[in-house]
Amino acid sequence: MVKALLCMLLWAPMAAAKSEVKSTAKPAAKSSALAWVESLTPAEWQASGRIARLVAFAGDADRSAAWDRLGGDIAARSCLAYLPRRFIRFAASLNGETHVDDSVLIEGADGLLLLAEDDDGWHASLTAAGSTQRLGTWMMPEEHRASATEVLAMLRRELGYDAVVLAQKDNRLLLAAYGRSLTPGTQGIVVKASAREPLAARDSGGGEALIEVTEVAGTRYAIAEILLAGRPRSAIAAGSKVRFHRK
Amino acid sequence: MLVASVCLIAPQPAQASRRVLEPGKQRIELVYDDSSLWGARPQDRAAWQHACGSLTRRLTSSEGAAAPFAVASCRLAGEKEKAAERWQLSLRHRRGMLTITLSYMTAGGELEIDTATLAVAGRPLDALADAAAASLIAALVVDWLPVGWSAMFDGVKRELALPRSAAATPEQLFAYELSFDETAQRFVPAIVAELSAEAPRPQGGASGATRYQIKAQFRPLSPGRYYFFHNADGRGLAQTAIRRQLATSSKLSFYAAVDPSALEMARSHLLSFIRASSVYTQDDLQPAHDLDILGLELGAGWLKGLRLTMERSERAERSKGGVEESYALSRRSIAWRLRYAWPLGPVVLGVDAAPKYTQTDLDVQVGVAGSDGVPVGIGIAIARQADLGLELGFEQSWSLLRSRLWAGQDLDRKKPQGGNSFWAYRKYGGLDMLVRILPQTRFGSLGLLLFAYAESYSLAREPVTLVEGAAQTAVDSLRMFAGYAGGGVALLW
Repeated sequence: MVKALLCMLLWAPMAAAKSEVKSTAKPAAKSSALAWVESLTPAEWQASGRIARLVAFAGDADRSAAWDRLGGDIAARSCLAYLPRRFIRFAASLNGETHVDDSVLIEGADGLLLLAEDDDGWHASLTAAGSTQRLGTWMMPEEHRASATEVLAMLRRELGYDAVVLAQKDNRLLLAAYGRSLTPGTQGIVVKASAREPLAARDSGGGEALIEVTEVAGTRYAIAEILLAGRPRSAIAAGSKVRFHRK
Repeated sequence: MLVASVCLIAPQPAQASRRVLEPGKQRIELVYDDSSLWGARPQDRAAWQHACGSLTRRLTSSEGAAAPFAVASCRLAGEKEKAAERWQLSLRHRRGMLTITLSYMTAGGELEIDTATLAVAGRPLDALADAAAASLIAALVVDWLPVGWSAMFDGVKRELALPRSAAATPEQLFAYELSFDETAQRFVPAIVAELSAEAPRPQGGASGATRYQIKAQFRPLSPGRYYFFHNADGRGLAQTAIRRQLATSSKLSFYAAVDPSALEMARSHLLSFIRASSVYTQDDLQPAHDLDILGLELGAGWLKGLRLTMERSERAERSKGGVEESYALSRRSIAWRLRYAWPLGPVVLGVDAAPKYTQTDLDVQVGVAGSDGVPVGIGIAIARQADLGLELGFEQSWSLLRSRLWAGQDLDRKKPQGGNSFWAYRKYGGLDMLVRILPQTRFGSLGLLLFAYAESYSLAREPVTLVEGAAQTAVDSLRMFAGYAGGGVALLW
């Protein structure tokens, strides 16, 4: 009996908050997610956490054309922007040289997920705040490395999340997705204390909030609603990682 | 699966060792160096200020937010520079050639970025003041610049407008931040965004500008902040278009900018022609011209009075590998050979002083495509030349045959049509054979003269202007080797 009362006391404000959001929310326009993204100053959310927002490839330069195709596909299917390989040639031309090292890609590029290819797969590293953090070696069969779908699946698996929180307004979250196909009604959890972590390990911390996708803008951005949080009107830090329920 | 591994990318050097170049604050100094203006008169100084003003207006922000430089200044060579650290555009005029050099100057030294040489007719300051010329030279400088254009993002439009270049408008741009590694003498860019040119609007819109929209953003763009922009394919790519316009614009007095490789190619063809003019015809050249060499030698005793040779070549044209060539050669020379000989046993040692006057009509036109695809013509037409030289030879005589082996050194003064006269040094040597074909009479004898000789020209340290129609170019040095053979008659008595 006491346990039931405690449950009711815990649920009541959450349910009230949920109904309040629903009652005050304006009808969502079709492009509200994109409008929300464009209203953000990138520095607002990039500075708040380690978010992979760029992807680049390194290794055997003969593979540059294949990487350009792959990078373009990844950029079209996710929130990741592809840092083109020709920037290396561009950087060389500034000094009248014919060749510079791949390291020019990471110069000042915050949130760059650099995948350096070798026989086993990808050596992954993430640059943030002027330093490069090694994430590990991500094994991948060679036959899958030209597929943006496969590479994005690998990214989500190894990073441990499907999307990141860019911003919050009341009970709504703006999410950037990493190629996971989202539809309204998809539910997921915000991984606890994950905003400043580059990876979201499966056994880390547990959930900070339960969310449900309400609007999708292509394959890159989505708006989700907080269904359940540890605290009412919980503030979800930008950069928090989101893991969706896998059907 | 997470496996520890070694990162393949070397850690980036500490940012503290780099100096960031700030867009919107770059300064450039234009320096004019012309020996004819040493001790410049007030009107010369005013002409330079006018020409420099025409250039700097196109390089500074005074004509819009997209100019690469915030501040520009002008000075003549020898005057004190106005800033220790700056970009410097040097314009050096010598003998009708204008050399433009872009450098980055620091207290520690000079980093040369690029250089080009243009031929200029008339007063270079007048040409520089021409609006079209100034626009093209400014476009050339921007194409060279590691800092490219600079422009400010307003944070709202996510687009920017760049002045439509008279030479080339790139389809895509990179926006980037730039550091200057003073120790390594290198520029280190950090990419910010990639922009694409908008499709031309059917009507309306800002004229004279190309609008670019952000296609991909790689770093946060701060409203109100300046960034550098450059052709995404790299710097130096618009030079072909710029040079082509410099070479063809009727408003310009600049002519084709000739790069060394094109000159070398033209020189090679000229050399091939001279070789082909000899009887030593090379199969691969197959000249379509006839060559006649006729010699007449009159001699008496130890004094050889007169030797006349004449060479003539019909005009020949051919096309090989897209290279148009046109040759015409006629040469008449008269040489007086004053000779003194000492009998040294079986041979005779002779010393000849051989002042000569040569009338040469040599017209060679070679149209070659330069490395940048711009057709380059090189021509030479020498109207007259005077030689003065000394020969040394050995002579052996038999009853019917007299042979002479000789070598000499000439100093030639040549005067191409429309070009500057120049000195040439000529080394030569040859073999003369005189066959007596009629017996000796009281009136002398008649012989058949056969001769072969080779000569080597050297035009060192002499800038030579070779003229071809409306285009000019220059050769700092030219060396060529040619062999000749001919025949004639000799009157002996």
